Amino acid sequence: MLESNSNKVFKIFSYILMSVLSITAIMPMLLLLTSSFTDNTTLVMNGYSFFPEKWSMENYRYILNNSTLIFNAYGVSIVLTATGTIIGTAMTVLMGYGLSKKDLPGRKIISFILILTLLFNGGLVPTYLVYTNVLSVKNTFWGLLLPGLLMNGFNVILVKSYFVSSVPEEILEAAEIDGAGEFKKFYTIALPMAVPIIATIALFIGMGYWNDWNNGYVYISTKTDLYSIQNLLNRIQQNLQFIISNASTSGVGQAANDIPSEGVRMAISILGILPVLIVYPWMQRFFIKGITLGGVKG
Amino acid sequence: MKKKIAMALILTLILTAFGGCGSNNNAEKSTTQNQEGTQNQANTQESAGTEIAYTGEPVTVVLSFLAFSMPSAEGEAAVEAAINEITREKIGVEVDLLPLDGGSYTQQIPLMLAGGEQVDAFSMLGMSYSTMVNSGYTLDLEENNLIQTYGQGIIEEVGAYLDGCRIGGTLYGLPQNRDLASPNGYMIANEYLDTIGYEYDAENVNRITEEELEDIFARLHEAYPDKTVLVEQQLARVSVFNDYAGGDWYGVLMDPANSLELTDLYSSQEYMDYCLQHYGWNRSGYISADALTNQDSAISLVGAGRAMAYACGIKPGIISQESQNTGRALSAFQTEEEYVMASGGFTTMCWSINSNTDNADAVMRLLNEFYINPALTDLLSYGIEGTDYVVSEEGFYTYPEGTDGNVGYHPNVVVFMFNEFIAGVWEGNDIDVWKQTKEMNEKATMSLAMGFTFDGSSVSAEYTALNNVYEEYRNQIEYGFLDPETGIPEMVSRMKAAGLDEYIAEKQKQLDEWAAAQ
Amino acid sequence: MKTRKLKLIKKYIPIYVMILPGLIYLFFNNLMPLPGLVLAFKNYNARGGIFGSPWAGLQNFKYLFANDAWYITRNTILYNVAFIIVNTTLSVLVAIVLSEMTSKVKKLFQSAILLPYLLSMVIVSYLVYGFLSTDQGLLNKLLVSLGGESISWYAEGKYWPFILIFVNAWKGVGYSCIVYMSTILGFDRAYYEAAAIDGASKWQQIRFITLPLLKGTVVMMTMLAIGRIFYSDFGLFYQVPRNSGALYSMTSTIDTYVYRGLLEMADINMSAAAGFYQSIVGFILVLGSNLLVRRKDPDSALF
Repeated sequence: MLESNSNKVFKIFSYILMSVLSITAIMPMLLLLTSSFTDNTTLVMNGYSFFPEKWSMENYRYILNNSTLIFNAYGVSIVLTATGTIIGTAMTVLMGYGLSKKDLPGRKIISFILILTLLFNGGLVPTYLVYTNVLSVKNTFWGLLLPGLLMNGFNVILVKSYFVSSVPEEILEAAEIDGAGEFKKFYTIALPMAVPIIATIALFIGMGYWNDWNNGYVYISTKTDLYSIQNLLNRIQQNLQFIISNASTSGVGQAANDIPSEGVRMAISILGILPVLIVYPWMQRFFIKGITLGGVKG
Repeated sequence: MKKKIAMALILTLILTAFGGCGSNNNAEKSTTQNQEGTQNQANTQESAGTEIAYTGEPVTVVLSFLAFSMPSAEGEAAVEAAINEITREKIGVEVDLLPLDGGSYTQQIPLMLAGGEQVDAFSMLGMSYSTMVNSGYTLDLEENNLIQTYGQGIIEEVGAYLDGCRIGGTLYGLPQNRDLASPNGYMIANEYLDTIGYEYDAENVNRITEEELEDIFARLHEAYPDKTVLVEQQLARVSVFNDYAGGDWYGVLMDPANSLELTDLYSSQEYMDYCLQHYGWNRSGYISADALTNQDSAISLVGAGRAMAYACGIKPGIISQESQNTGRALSAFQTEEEYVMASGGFTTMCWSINSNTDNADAVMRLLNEFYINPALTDLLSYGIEGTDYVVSEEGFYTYPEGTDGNVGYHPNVVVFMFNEFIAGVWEGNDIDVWKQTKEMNEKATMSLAMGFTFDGSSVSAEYTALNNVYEEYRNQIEYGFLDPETGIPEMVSRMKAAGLDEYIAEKQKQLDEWAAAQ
Repeated sequence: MKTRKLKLIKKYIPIYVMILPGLIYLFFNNLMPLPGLVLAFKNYNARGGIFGSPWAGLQNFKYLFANDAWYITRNTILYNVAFIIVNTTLSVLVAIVLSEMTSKVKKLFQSAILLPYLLSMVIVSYLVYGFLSTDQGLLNKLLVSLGGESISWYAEGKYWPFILIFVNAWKGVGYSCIVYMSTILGFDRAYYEAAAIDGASKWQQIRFITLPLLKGTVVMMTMLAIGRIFYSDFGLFYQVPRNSGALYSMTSTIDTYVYRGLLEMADINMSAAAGFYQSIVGFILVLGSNLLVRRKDPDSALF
């Protein structure tokens, strides 16, 4: 079929727009990459540059020297993200599906509570008290997994609206007539149709875990082998900040020498991004799958 | 059938959500230790003359402090064991060290205290002493004659400085023995001084005048137009002679040896002169255009060769310390003659005991031991001899051969410790550096407000507003980017709008009351 | 009536079981700490704990309404409004454009725009500094080479609304467009096929099919954003401007004000008061906008 002119224009516009956006997005990242390969004195002298005067592997060498710490943190991040994503996505999808039943008694109340949790936060200290004293998760893996990230109202609402708008009740009713119970309806019909939203939620939750440094910062104080990559990076940053703001307090300045230099921090950031760079394109196939399935339904 | 599987799956989900109970955690640890504590409250003491030998179960005390380099698990365990060897028999106490790294320390301590976890003694570094006291976290150290009974060593070591940690007359913290006051000066890299042909003393502190300093900077700038002459940093206090009574700079004593009248530092002529000096330097190009946003430390900038000088407190041993830090030979130039021992300086890093502790006696005994026992101080500050440090022939402490500083335990905290003066001397200092430090302390001008601490809770709204105003102008004016003749009046008028006068009035009121009660 | 409800409940037992894990989690994670909000009205003392501490009335809120402080509220609201408008427009645009793309390059584009989201704000602040630093910034080097003059970016507040809106969009669009993309993916292709047969061009298809169908999602996302209108991304407003005093009037928000004001004070009461203040305002706004939306388009309402 011949493509009309206006469609061609649209196509060209699309490509130009996306190219511009992509370049804008990537360019600073290239800066990040080059600075991680730059000799540190050059960094201090000349600042960042796409073409540094002196290339160096010293930052990555530093990482290799401290490999136990850094690769351990990597491991923690990966396991945490995998576990959290699986459990969190399951919980969220289940709840979202449940709430999508328009005639569910108590639906309004539960939805309200959900929104309430989005808008109101007890604050750091009360939350900390609940998790530390009631649930005893401090300095454990659960302290990384449970607080805040496992499930939130926003994701549940997304799932709920998806089910409401994209999974027609007629199909579910048809299955019911055929004798299927609630679980069967969910498992055999709704779930396969929900692949795009499941992928989306999994992505959100996964990224939430991968990027999080807060749980590690608050709930891990003595078990240094439970530091995730972002937590590690953040700690380095916080320590540096502390030193700078207390610079003239006697003796603090010396400690500055122990803090990894800027170049190393850049390198650690790169490490933090790599897995996502690998996983995300692989995940994108799930977004495409949805089209085929969606097209099949009548 | 599928239903059953689904049910099982969901049950598993629920169970995993609850799986956190019963795992290794501080709360559990603290309850068992609390139980131990109450059982051991009555440690049997057999007094043989002045020697008290402790029998029965030792009490575990948790000591938390800020560590810039977190020790390895083995390093920490080894140090704990070594400390316990000494303390177990001598005072019936075992210590559990809880080092936390820089940024998280200030967040963790209030959280742990609020959460009722066992933290028996902790340092106030990075936190506000008066807020912590007001929140009820700290123990009254004279309750039941606690410090008099178990802390005689502390009283002897610290002497009159003890009063510096009183709030409203009650003693909540223990000050340290360390450099408490030092004159301000500048460190300049020798290489550049040589180029401009300036004669200087590389071993001792050079006493120079402000004019001579101007001259040096001008010549440095001329010789090296591309380098920054002076790195501007946020100093704990600007180099203006005053006592920041009450712990903050909103209302200070400009004549602390003679007068108890608080005035506004920022309206003073001295502050104006200080800022004008930096303004002049900035206009002459001695200061980097990026100084406002710079996040590199002076040490790294000078070390890298991008800058040539920076301001510094001139304390004994500073030359070798800073030269080591920057990796360049530096010389010290002192411009101040007089310097104040700030009345609020004792509480910056003082040590306090948790008000909820189960075993105040044991904690006090432990702290007392740290203040008087050099072996313990060395263990806490430097680690195990042979593994974490070695002592050279001349008596200096240094890293063991081939470790390059990568040892199991070196938290870099000697200056935050209890009694720096009984610790070993690290390489690069003079062997009698502690004696010199004591002398420097004694030469400082003592403030009449020594022992006064301010309770600012009724003016906290003003305080936050004042902070915001000051933070907005601070770097611009003090680094010389804004003309002080216009900038300072503007800042002061905004401070007044934020409640500066009310704040100072409240502080003065409390100061007068305190003075009357002396 | 009651028996009907009971019958429904019985029928939906499996559904309740599905919802249960989520509810339990929300209970511990969000509801149990909620009473801690009283800290905003108390003067915390460790001896009394949270509930035993003395009351302080509204004293902890005073500092948020200080004479000087009106500009932080102004900044917070205006920035959030700008963020909502700019980010939503760009996200929807990108989502539509990407979902119409079929070539392999699409994957590349998608990954590229998501990358910035992965960086922590601290690293972003370094990168921004790499561009905007006065002495060595790439932007100034470019300006000078084109014959212009160096600008002291960190000393002039007027540029910063644009800078911050740009950085926020740069970081966030790749992420927020995902929601719209999956929504679009869920649309029935039949609509598009029918329209194509009728001779509608791409632009028309977008205007008459995609956009209306997307409306519900946009409304919902916007309402949730409104609920957060008094909050701000601390990293964006504190780290990126590098805490430069000259920029305070243009870049301070409620969160940075609280942080700077309290600095080392660790005053639980005052920060709790700030959190409470932000939540209440957001809550009222969401309630209000939800009521409005419910009247016009009940399906899009949050509750």
